[in-house]
Amino acid sequence: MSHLLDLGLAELADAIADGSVTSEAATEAALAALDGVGRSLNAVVRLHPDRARQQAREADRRRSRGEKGGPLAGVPLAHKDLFFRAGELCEAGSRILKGHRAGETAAVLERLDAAGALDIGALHLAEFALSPTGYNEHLGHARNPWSLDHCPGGSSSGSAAVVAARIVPAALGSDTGGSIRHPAAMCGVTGLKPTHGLVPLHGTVPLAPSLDCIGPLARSARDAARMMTAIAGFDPRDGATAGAPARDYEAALADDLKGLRIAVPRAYYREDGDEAVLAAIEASLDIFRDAGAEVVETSIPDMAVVNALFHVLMTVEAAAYHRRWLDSRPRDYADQVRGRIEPGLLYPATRYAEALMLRRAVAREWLSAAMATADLVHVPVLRHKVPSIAETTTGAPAEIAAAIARVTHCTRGLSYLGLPVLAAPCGFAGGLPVAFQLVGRPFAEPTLLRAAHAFQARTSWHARKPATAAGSALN
Amino acid sequence: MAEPDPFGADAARPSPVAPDGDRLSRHAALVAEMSAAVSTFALQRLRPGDAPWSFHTLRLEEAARADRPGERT
Repeated sequence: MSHLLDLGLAELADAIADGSVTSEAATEAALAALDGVGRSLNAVVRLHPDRARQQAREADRRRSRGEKGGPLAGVPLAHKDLFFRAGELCEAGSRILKGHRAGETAAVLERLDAAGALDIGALHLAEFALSPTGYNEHLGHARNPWSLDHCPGGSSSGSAAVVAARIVPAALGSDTGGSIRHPAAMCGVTGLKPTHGLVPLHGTVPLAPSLDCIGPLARSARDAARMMTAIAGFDPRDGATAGAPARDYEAALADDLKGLRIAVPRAYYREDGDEAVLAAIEASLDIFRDAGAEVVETSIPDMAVVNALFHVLMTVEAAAYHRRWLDSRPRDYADQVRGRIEPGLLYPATRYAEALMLRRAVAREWLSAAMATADLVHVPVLRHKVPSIAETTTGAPAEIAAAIARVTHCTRGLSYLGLPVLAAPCGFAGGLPVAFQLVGRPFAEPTLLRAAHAFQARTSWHARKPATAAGSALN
Repeated sequence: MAEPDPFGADAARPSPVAPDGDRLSRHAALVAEMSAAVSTFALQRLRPGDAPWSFHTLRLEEAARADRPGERT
């Protein structure tokens, strides 16, 4: 068997279930890797070793008694520090919530607990999930396992870094304007931003609830599917989940994409990109063709107005939530983060209402244009190579803002549309990963996962591991 | 002593202090640009039936559509 830490989520869960691996061994390996490689990537906020070991031993005891566990029984996981667990710290990468102990447990953690997973640590994230690069003034910048001088992406930076570095097999992320997709792309893992309202937000520190989504970062589409099966579906404590289906996402996976049509918009998403990045993105289309999909050209509506609509919703909702602290503790925010929230204090209420009221029509128009004859849309996550940390933190404020805007160019508009989007690796440029996004209709997650699974059955980009990986011979 | 609850009533009390006007003014150009784009678009596009919960209507429409596989638009 390969090294314990190389096992993906589904592989590890199945190995624990059949007794070929103990939860205790997997958990000890993950704890050691988090404490070693994880801290060297600045991906770790805090660990729960005592609880993790106790739960691992209990999972092994239950199995030895012949009790059937859940689909993630005994599997050690860790997540960005954004999800409440009753009685425990949750600080959201901020000084504002320093020392905050939650009074309740997030719905997603309850669901992972019910599936048998262990929650062994809290991971790095952008302050209040508000940076696409991995920047955090209070925790320090997280590092990309492929190159320590480069951004790991954010805001779910720790989640992506530890999955890519073979420390834990999967982690939760949250995505408001790209916070699952940026780090998935920059670290070379598979990330799924679900349809808004498919996964309950209850017990999660909000950024902008109309846009916030929780989803998996994992090493493959299969692993993302297994995690989605555990966390998706209606929760009465989150009204946005009304009508959200509960499904077995793994059952929808298939190697064959015959009958699937993938649309490719040339405008906006592929303009002014790096040649090496766009070449890898184009090459990925050949793999989809090889799997049986038909690739067609398409057009999209003006994204400038969609991005403006996103900005109104995101900043106004964030400002409403943060106003209590913007007034009383403004200097406890990093300037970059405070500056991204403050515009929301200035928009008239009418703009905000318009942004909400137009959402269905804009999404419907986008679907009709981009997906009139297709099931999925294929676009890059980033048009440029992964930026260095220096590029996004030094220089004039306008230069930094431009660097950050380049990172979110392909992601934020899709968040306004509320559509499900999967990011998966498809090559390298400058030694760092390149990734595509697959966009689907609301609740088309099974189709997204099926397409990514077929792609990964024919490629090995998702299986490559960085030299910094835990258990690597280079360590 | 119990730790202060940052989500509690005291923390949520409205502040008498207005946000720093000088600082906010640096966002004025961006907000004006975005606001104009949304305003113009809304004047052209808002229709009866467009409600603040419009996205949830779309989700329910699409959930119903999932029962009719093969339909693309």
